[in-house]
Amino acid sequence: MSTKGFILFLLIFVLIISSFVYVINLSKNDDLSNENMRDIQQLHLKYSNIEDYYELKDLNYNLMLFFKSINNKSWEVNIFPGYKEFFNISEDFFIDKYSGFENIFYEVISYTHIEDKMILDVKYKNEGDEELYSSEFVLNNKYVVDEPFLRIDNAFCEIENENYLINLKGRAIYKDKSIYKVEVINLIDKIIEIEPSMYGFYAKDKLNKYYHRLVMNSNSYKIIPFGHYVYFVEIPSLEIESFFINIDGEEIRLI
Amino acid sequence: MKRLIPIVLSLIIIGILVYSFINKNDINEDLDEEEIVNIDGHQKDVFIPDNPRDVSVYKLIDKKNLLNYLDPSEMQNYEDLVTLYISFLLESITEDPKEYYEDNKVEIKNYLGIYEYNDFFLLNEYLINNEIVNKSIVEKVILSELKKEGNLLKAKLSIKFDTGEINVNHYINYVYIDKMSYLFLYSNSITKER
Repeated sequence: MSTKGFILFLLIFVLIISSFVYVINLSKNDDLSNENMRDIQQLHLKYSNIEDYYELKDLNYNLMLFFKSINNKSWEVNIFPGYKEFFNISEDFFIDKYSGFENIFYEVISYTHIEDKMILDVKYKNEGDEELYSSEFVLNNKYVVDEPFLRIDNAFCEIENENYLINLKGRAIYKDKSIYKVEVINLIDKIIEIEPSMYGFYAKDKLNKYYHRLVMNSNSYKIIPFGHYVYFVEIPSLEIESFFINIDGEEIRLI
Repeated sequence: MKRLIPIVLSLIIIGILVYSFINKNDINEDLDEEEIVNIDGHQKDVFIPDNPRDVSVYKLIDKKNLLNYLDPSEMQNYEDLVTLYISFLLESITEDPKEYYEDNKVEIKNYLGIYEYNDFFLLNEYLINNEIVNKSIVEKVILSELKKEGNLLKAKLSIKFDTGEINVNHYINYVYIDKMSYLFLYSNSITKER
């Protein structure tokens, strides 16, 4: 065989071998790819078969963000807009509220569905601490808040005389209580006082009477001359027929 | 001298062929070894299909650090979630992210742990800029960083494809809900921090 003939033979030989190796690898890759697809399908099946896995993932998402933002001292929490507006929540409200926490661990003890929201009983603690805290969180698919808050109801009323103006600005409905927002404006040049005992605000439902507690940092019952004050008044009931304020020695019905 | 040329040439070609053949076989053997993983640690009541191969398709490299925070069964669980994450990541690369997001919101939440369009858009853009395409082949998945934040582990994955390389961050959230332990993977709001 001449040199040229031998080189031609070699080239053809190389071409045949290369094609053979290519086809072998192609089919092997196809096999691997098919096996991978099967494995991925199995994994899809695995998580679909863990009861409520993806629903709980969604549910946990905002709670995770809430505690993450507390740990990071950042603000990534989606608070219910109605709640935020009603209580005039500032961006650092929760950061301040949880300022003692550095590295929170949490566990969801139970969850129940009320109206369009999930109420979660959550226990949490600082890493390494013995003390365990408990709160009920409310979540829907977008928002979170660390109280069993359900919605804001319209409850408006305006009462004015020569001494003061009282504005009832709404009612926050919780799982088992109501919080009224009451603004009192002093129109005269002397201090006006709301009865500082539990009778300062109260509610009635049939024969039941419910006394109040001031919450969300509203604590002074005195309104300075020409000043104004916003009260958040907690009444431990959802069933309320009438709501009263004792101001300046008078009992006034707001609802 | 003329007679030597074909002999030298043929030796070189045969050498190259033998080398490339052996090399291909080595890669395939590596893949097979990496794919054999036990699945025993998973939650009870999980339906496992008949004759499962018991694997996570994309094996993590440098994952030992995870053992400081998760038990081995949860580590396997994490690898499975990463497999679903990467397989959907490739599937979701699109030229029309808005339409894709609207049509596949649930899957994007479930597999990528992304809850907002903005994050999906940025991730998609990042993949395209790094020349990752739907048919890219995963070559290596490295757990390059791990940081603990409460119930959360902030993880950084370096994923090498045949077409390019990316770094993605996500949170591993290990949490008890109603006395059951769950491992969730969320990548929202941190995918930007590459």
